[in-house]
Amino acid sequence: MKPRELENALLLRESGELSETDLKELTIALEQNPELAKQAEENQVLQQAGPYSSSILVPEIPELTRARILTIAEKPTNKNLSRLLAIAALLVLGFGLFPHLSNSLQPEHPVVAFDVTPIRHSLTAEDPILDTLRELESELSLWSSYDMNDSSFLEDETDWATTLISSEESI
Amino acid sequence: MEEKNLEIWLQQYRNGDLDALGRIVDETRVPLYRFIYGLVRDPHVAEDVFQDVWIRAIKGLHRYQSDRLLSWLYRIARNRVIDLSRKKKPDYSLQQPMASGEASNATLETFIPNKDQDPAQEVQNLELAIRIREAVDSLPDEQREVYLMRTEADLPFKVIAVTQNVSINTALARMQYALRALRDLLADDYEALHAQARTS
Repeated sequence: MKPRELENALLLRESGELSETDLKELTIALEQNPELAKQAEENQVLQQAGPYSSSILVPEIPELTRARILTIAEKPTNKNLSRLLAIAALLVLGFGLFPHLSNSLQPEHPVVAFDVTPIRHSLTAEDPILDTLRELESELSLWSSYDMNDSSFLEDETDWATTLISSEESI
Repeated sequence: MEEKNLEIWLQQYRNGDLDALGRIVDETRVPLYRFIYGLVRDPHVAEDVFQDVWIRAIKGLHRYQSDRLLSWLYRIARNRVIDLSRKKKPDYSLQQPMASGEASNATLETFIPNKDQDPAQEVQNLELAIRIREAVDSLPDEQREVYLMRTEADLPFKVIAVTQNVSINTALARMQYALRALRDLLADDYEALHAQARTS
């Protein structure tokens, strides 16, 4: 072992972490090296110094602190209980509200076209809306008579095209 | 301290045995408290941190998976002290020089002479203890932590390394530096320390 490894081996021996093989090697080194043996002794003295100082200067931890810790440790049980109670209350509430919720959450009936005739029958002859309805109906009948392939539409489009081309050429 | 026992008690506590937790607290409280005290140097702060460590430990038990309860506890303690030193600077700074008269932190019992001991010897012991404490307090944080974990809690280096999140060689090197520094700082007291070590 190198000097640094021997120093580490001294520490590991004291902490009980040195392997059997290394322990044998260290024991031989300690017998042959008085400096190392002195260091081993000093290490032990210095490592005992800290606990010695603490035994005089560090007060005992109060019993009350221990009691507080154990009281806190008891709380998780209460916490679990209250959590269970909360879940149970939510379930009861959920079952109670379910019928109302299911009604209000139902989708709206789709808007469907319906015959206006019954409405027309329900109106009086003087109702102003009847005039509007009549106008709309006549407009629709007018448009339904048109055919998009009508030659008048096609001629119109050709005229527009001619006008555009001629104006472009003149520029 | 048998970590195997701690693991068994921990399992018993998880199964609902509160007394088992009491046994863990009893088994660890002196070394853990001394470790914390060695870092914060104030009995009241040390008490608060000690209690806080256990509260955090209890809350985090469901997350605790490994078989290293001690390194877990010391890591919580260490992190808590670091948090405090950041928040409360300069009151609890880890680098703060120790207030003159460490004995102000000691209990009254400290000053009551032991009836089996010579009062003059008692005073000498107290003075020696204060000088040791001053020497330990003067170590850099990482070295002091290793020294305290090793000497107060008797933690093996592999656990210390995990607690500090370093390699075992780094933990060993820190201990070497700490011992070298203490050897120089306590050179005048070595004979008294040696005599004390022989009697204990």
